[in-house]
Amino acid sequence: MNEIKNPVLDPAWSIAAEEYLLEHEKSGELFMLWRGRPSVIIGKFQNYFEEVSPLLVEKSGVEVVRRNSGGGTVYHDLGNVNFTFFADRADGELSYERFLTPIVDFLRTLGVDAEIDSTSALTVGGKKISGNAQTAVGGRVMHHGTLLFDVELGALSALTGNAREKITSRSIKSNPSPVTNIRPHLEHDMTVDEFIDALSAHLGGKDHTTRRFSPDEIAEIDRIASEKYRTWQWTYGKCPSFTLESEHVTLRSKGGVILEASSRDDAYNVALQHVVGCRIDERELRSALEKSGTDDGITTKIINEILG
Amino acid sequence: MTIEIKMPAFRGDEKSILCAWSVDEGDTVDVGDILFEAECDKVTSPCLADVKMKITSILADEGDEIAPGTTVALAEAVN
Repeated sequence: MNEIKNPVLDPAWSIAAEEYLLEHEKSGELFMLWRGRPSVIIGKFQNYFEEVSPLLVEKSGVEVVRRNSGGGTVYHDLGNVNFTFFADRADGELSYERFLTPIVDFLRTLGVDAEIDSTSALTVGGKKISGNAQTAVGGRVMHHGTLLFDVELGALSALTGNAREKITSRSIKSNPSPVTNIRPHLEHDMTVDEFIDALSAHLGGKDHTTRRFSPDEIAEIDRIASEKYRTWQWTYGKCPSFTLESEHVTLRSKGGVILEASSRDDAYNVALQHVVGCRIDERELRSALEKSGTDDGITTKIINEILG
Repeated sequence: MTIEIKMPAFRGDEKSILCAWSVDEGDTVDVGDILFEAECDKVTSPCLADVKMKITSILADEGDEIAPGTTVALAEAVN
């Protein structure tokens, strides 16, 4: 199989590269292996504000990227290896097994007893090592998945899988599962680079060819990343409508903007009128509340309840 | 002539979630324009217009879980 090499560690760029390849590689099969800096990657139709604690994500300093495929929120760091396949949509049906079987075969060559579960995840001993999702456009499909090779599992569990129950929406929900890294299950230890090289050789098979992105392709992917995947409008503005009910705040939002806000408490109710029309962003909310002369304690509570 | 816009089948008879409308009632769309986007078992896919048409009635809400073949909107063909 053909492989396109992608050494870029910027998750927004690699997700833009996936979009570019899905649109431009019109025939045949191709795969790409890539890693990303610490980041939270949300599904295309998810509500970021519901899936994570925005304050916690901001404090951790990780990047946030909304991808083009479905499913739930995942955590990436340099111990996670992503694989992406581009292929024809066989018989109009969308299958996960077609893309996951070669990954399972590869893991078994390393002594890892991986299985495909009913949610299209790969598991070892019932714990998830890989989440998978797809995008289908016309006759083509892009399948991608994570491989938790040697990920900071503490960061993963702190930043994902903690849906905020005070938010109600009709968005796509994550399905948190117990996870484990692949590395402790290897028959013989290897580094993440050795793992990537072995996976590349396995998927490439006997007709393995490799190429790199051309300068023109890089320029186009840079454009897609800048105009889409690094924008507030795509990452947060794509959030569907939702309501939030907390101790001092009731609000309704669409597209990441507060449409209505109120409180049963008069002091909070007055303050909240100043955030109507604001983006749900800590700096923007704090600025609006400070300009209105809202008491610092009330400001902090409002921000913690909306974003905490 | 009334056109019935239906939820496609992504995986057998599995239902899909209509995640986002890209058109409103009254809009005229060309061949290839996105009508709506759906998600089924973590697969996202746009549903495209196959003829030029004017959307007359939207019958499903964003977030609805819909069986394949269900009519989600009505349209009139446009020359």
